Amino acid sequence: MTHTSTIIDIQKITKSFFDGDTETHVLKGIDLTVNQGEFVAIMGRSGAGKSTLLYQMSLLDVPTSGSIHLNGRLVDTMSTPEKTKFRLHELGYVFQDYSLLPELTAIENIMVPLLMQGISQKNAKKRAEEVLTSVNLLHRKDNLPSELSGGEQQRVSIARAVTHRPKIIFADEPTANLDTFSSRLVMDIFKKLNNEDGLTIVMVTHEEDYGKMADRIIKLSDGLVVR
Amino acid sequence: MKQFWNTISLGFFLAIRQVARSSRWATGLIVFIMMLTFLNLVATSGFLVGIIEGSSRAFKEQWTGDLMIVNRNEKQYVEHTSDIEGVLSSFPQIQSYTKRVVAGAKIEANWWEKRKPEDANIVSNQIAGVDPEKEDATTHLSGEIAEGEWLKPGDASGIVIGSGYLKEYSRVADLVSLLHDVHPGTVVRVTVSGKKLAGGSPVPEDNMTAKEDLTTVGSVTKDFIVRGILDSKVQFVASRAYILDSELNKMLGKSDGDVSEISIVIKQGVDPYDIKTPLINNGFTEYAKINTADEGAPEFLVNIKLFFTIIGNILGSVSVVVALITIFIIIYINALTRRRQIGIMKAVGVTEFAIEFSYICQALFYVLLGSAIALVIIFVFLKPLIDAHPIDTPFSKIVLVADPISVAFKFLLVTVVSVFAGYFPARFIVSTNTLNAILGRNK
Repeated sequence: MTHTSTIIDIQKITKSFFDGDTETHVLKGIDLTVNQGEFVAIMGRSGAGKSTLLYQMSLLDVPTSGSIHLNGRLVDTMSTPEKTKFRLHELGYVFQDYSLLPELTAIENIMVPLLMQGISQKNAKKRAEEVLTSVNLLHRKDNLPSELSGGEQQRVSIARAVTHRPKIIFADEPTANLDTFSSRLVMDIFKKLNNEDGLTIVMVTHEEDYGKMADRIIKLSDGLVVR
Repeated sequence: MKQFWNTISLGFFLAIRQVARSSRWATGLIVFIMMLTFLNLVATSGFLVGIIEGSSRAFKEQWTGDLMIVNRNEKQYVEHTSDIEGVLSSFPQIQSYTKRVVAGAKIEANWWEKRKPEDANIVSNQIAGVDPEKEDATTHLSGEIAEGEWLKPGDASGIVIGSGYLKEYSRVADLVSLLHDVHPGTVVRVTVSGKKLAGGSPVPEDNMTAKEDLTTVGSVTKDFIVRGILDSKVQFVASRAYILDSELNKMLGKSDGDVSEISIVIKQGVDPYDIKTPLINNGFTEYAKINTADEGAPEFLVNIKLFFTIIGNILGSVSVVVALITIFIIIYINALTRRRQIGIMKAVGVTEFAIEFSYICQALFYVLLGSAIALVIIFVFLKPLIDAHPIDTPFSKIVLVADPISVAFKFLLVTVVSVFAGYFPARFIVSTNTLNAILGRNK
């Protein structure tokens, strides 16, 4: 994969939490760049700050200090509606526990970002069917999440993350709750999305085998990038 | 604008699915609660006003009609009654009318058993002379007969006595002097203050006697056989005895045809003023007072009606607050249990208002469906049933007053209330930090 330009540029971000009077520094000044089309794995021991770093760069949380540029835009100073709009158009998310909406069927879950973008129900459905086909789940499109296996739910979650053609996919331990077979299937999809569609993927994982499937591994320890 | 419609459209999309795929029992229960809330809102005030409305209707149906013509204060009778009647006959809008001659009367029963004055079974009240057919066609008093039957045309010796005369029907019998042991078939002696006729007293019939009462100058006494007991909740109606108008006129020595009251019932949909105004224009207000049923309603009824309306509105306001709190709690719990999903929706780019709108839609669904069911119950079952069979109480026959305009206003009110009651709890949950919502952190 050819990486053309920087799509994620993080400068000296810190994140601290307060528990009463006690301040805990989870991220201690991280500098990080990710190029467009790059597949990056963030690894480290529990408590190293992997997920916290992912939440900061994916606009789900606000860093205590530092700056974040995504796709050339300074995002940490954006207003909430601007961030929502940015997430809707530029970012996709895959969570550890799939995070599908339980009252919506597989295809309806995938249609949500498209409908929010103003795409008609008919076209949204067509597009959702395309992405469901790409994750081999078209036959399960009318099933509710509770009727799907963990691996199937995660594939639906990936389909939802890519349906609106975002620039970057953020995945937070996407294989943590899956068996080996399903994990492999999910990782293959990520690899395919990265290789064939040129999607930038930032994935947090603690599994070495899947980390090695990425173009680059960023290792965190005690809130700092160590490699 | 496009963004706004995207938001509305997605909010609606989410709401439909959340309602459709939530527990049927839970949805049914919420709708049931909303139905009860709306029923309470309409029926509580409706029954309260209905207590007085029942009285007002009874006044109208059994006494005043839609329009009532009575003597002016300074006159004893409605003068030129025949002229007024001539004009009334020309109105096709009039369904029926009845004329009444009313006089003060003493009615005595069992006088032959009286040993000393304090044993007298006697009462003083009003007696009305009526045409039985016209009276019944106008006020349907035959339907209020508790014992015996209503007067028949030509029954010169018959009398119907109102329950207000009778101890057996009275709840204050120990406080006032009333007749006792009077039933259909009992002979009663009626004494009215009559005008002395040049030709002497009215002619006695059969074994009944019509003679001058020697104790009261100008009074005339006649014996009647009780045909029926009239038990009306309208005090004015129950406190009268009824005989043929021809008989009362004879006893009073009246031959001018003037009467005390004319009650007029007009056809459905006709405005009473369509009759009243021409009568006024004919100058009849010089001879009589002409009032619609509302104008002629007793002041205490008007005041009580106003009082109950205020009480009904207060209780209605409480119902609206209850509805507001109920919906608020339902939506709050609903949103709280979906806090994580709300966080996920925000993460994937769904705007806060789209999520809030989905909860507003859900609140509207519960309230509108519950209220619609309540409306069907009120207008298809409850109101027709109670109109046909009013709730009988000692005070009045209670009806359910559910004026469509007032009910429509209440419907609109709960709709507006449900928008706010749906919005604020959703807003409260939606405004929490996205990541905290997703991770289930209570911050």
